[in-house]
Amino acid sequence: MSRPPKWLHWLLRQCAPASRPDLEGDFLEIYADQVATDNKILTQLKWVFTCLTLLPLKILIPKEKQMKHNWTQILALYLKIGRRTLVKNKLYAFINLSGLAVGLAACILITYYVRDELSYDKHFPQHESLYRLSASYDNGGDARTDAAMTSWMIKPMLEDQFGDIDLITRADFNSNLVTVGEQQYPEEGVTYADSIFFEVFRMEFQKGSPVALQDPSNVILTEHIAQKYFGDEEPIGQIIELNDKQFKVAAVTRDLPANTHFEANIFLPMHGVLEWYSDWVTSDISGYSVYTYIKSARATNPQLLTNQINALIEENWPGNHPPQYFLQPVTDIHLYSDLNYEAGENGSIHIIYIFGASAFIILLLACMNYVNLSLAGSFQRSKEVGMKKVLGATRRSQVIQFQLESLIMMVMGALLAILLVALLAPLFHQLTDKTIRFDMAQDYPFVLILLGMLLLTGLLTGSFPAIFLLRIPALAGLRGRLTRSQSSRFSVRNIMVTAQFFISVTLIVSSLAITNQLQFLRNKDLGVNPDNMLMVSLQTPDMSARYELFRELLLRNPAIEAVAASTAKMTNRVGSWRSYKAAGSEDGVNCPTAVISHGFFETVGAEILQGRAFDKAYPSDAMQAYVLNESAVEFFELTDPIGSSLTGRAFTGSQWATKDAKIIGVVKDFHFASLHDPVRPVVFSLSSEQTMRPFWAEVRAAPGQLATAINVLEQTWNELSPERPFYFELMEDELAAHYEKEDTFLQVFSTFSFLAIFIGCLGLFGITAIVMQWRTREIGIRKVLGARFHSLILLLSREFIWLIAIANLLGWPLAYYFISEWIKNFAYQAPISLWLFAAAGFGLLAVGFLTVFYHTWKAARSNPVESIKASE
Amino acid sequence: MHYTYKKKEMSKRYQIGEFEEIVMLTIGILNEEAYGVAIKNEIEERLGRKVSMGALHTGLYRMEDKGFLISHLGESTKKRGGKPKRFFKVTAKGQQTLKTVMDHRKALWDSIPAGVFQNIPST
Repeated sequence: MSRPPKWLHWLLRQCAPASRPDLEGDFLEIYADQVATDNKILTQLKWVFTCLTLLPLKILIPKEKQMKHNWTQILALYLKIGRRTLVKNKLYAFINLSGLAVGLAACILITYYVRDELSYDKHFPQHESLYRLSASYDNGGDARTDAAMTSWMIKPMLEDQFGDIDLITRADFNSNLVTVGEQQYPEEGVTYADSIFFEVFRMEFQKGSPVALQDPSNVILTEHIAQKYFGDEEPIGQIIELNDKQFKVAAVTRDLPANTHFEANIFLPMHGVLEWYSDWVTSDISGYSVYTYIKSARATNPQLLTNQINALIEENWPGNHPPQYFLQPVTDIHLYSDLNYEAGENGSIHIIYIFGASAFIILLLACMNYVNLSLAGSFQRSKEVGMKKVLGATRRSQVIQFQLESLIMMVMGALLAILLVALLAPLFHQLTDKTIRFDMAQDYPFVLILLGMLLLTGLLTGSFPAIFLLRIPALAGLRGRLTRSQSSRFSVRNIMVTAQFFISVTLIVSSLAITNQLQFLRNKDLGVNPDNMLMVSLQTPDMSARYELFRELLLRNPAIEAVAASTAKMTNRVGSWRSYKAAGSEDGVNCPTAVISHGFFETVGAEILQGRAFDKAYPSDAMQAYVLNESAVEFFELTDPIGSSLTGRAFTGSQWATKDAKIIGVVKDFHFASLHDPVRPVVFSLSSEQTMRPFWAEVRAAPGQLATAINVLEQTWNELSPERPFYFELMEDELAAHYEKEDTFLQVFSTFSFLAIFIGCLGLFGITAIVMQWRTREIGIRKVLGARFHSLILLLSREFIWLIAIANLLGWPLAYYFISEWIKNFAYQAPISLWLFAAAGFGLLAVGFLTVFYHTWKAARSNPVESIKASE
Repeated sequence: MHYTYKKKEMSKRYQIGEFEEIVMLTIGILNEEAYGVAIKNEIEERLGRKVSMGALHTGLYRMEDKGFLISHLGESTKKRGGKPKRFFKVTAKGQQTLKTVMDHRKALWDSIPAGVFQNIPST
């Protein structure tokens, strides 16, 4: 017997009124007869026309034959039923709600974070045409150094050429000590800028105008700084002092928003502070000391401008290897730029991706919970659905009912989530340094997105149980005889539980690996000993000159073990680049150089491998000696470093001179910089009165005497330099600060992992409760027949344990992939050990088992008589 | 009930078309087995004319709507894709109408003077 093809059947259904099923039957009957005798294609063609002749009938038999629904009443009924279902199943309601609320709250917070990250520098008018000029510098050796800073001399050069079309400004962001009357304020964001700065970065002025920056003795403050210094007094005309130079406040700007890639609170005219820079800054184009920003009218083709700049530089470059300049859109700096000497802490687009994905995953987990619990719990409602079917409810109205119920849950979850967000805002601020401005009225796009998300998830999650329940024949539903697809290993429920734990495993393994890597970095032998080390900025040239005296005074106290000094802050950068010529080679190469005092290696705890350190017994060390670290020996390709000559340049108080020197020692590689990068080759040079004076003192306190040492330091400081506030940093803190980003990342990431596991376990808890309810009678019978308690527990948890095991097997490779990608950020990598995976696996199994255990225990302990009766 | 409504009803009461008459009579012939396909086959066989499904069902629906027929759904068979058959019966009103139509015709036939219809043999 043959059936018409599907398309014909479909056409028939479209043409025949649905209220006359006999019509369709007649057709099928006749078709079967005809197709047996006639040509198939001809018959089909004939049937197309016949179907069309039915169309009048469809119009004739009006809809009035169907029942008309009173939707207000129906919806009211659905709301009532929904409320009763919730109240009846408090546990599931609670699990669903808490999962949804937590998921949505995480989503909202992450959305805020991402939005803030994406908004960087977009508050400047015409931000599309703002660029920063950065460059890739050739410092000798294979690797080029990409830096955000450029030479002071680039601006006048470019201005000559393109000044009429492009606005070019220099800016330099410093920290400095500001003196106002008697008060002293250490300030960040002290900006030295050209007067054109405010034309490039348009800011709102509260008082005065940008013209103020043209006068070298003027200063412009931001609102909060003016408020801090002068309170309610008129700030204009007041005098502030920096580096013993007086400036007159001539204008006040509005505060720069926090989503700016640099921090700027005090603006000083570049030409007013030029004397603070070393001479080479204005005379040597190969150095880099300031940031150069361009506002280009030709923004449509930045590549063209870049090429022009590079051509120009190449023409005017004194040496062989001109840097390659490139333009970075200012709005891209925060997320995409990761160069040396960035103006501030930048974000990363990868973090945005990871966070976005996390938000999505957490919400997905919460929705899975909802679907899973509604599916598992739907057997309770099969009677309701069956009864409604019998009474003539349409498919559509029933789907709407379930969608409405899930929508109610979503809305309640959203309200709870908003409450949670309000509660968590301080924690969020602490974690990410971002403030949430939860302003519904102003944030209508956000509210709209939230509403849209709710509607979509509500409709989607509501459809699942509806479709499942509607597939059950009405009678079976009414009798409460449900096939619970228990036998099917691939039921939707199992797949979802596995998916949830799969995600959890991936997250746990990843966070364990991140923790492991950070632990590894912290415990890595740095080659120096940062314990009990204090770093003291000498602040003024005067103090630099009196360093030896300072050292003498300090060492008199037993709480101070050793004192040394250097020109640079060791934890920031080991040295500045200088050009060297090794014996036997023609070309000069650049190598980082650290200028240090006597006793430096001893104080920081670095080990001399060959030769000797700088020694007071050899006065010639000041001009004729270098110490290299191991990497530098390799860098200069020296086989027998001790005694071989190295020609460099030294700053002799007022100018640079050639320094012909011998290598007197090799020190073991040590790290002060972040372990993201490998140890750099470093040439150590002695600081002395003839050459460079030290600006930072490194002080080692005796073990256990740190507090005393700080006191001694402060007293000594106040004796020598009472006009400056004493200021110190702990080396350990500064070293830890290298990994601040990773720490924050780990904190946020482990929070997400925890949330994922939490939501997953909530779901598992709910599911077990329902499954145990199904199996109450089975358990009772098993008990009556003599099953032992532990074998029952095993039997009941086996299924879930299996699911978690599968989730582990799936999650491990994915986590491994993620970790191996992430760990590429570091030059020094902790091995990815097996125990990470094992720990995550066993941990999750244990958590899963405990979750299931409560219910299995309850079920296994129950009185069999009760349970057999109960499910009757 | 309004008079106008009733009057309209009255005038329409016994008006049926030729096709409708045939269908009703066929339903009578088929007795218990009068459902869509059977009616169609019966008419085609007996009268040798094609019956379109659309026309037949439209007619059936109309007559049911006018009260000449009643129907009930019967059993469903596999051949029919699980769809039931709809069996028709002629109501008392339907029967009355058929009878009236027949009587009217008969009266008309009887009133024709003998010998006018020369082309058909008289019975």
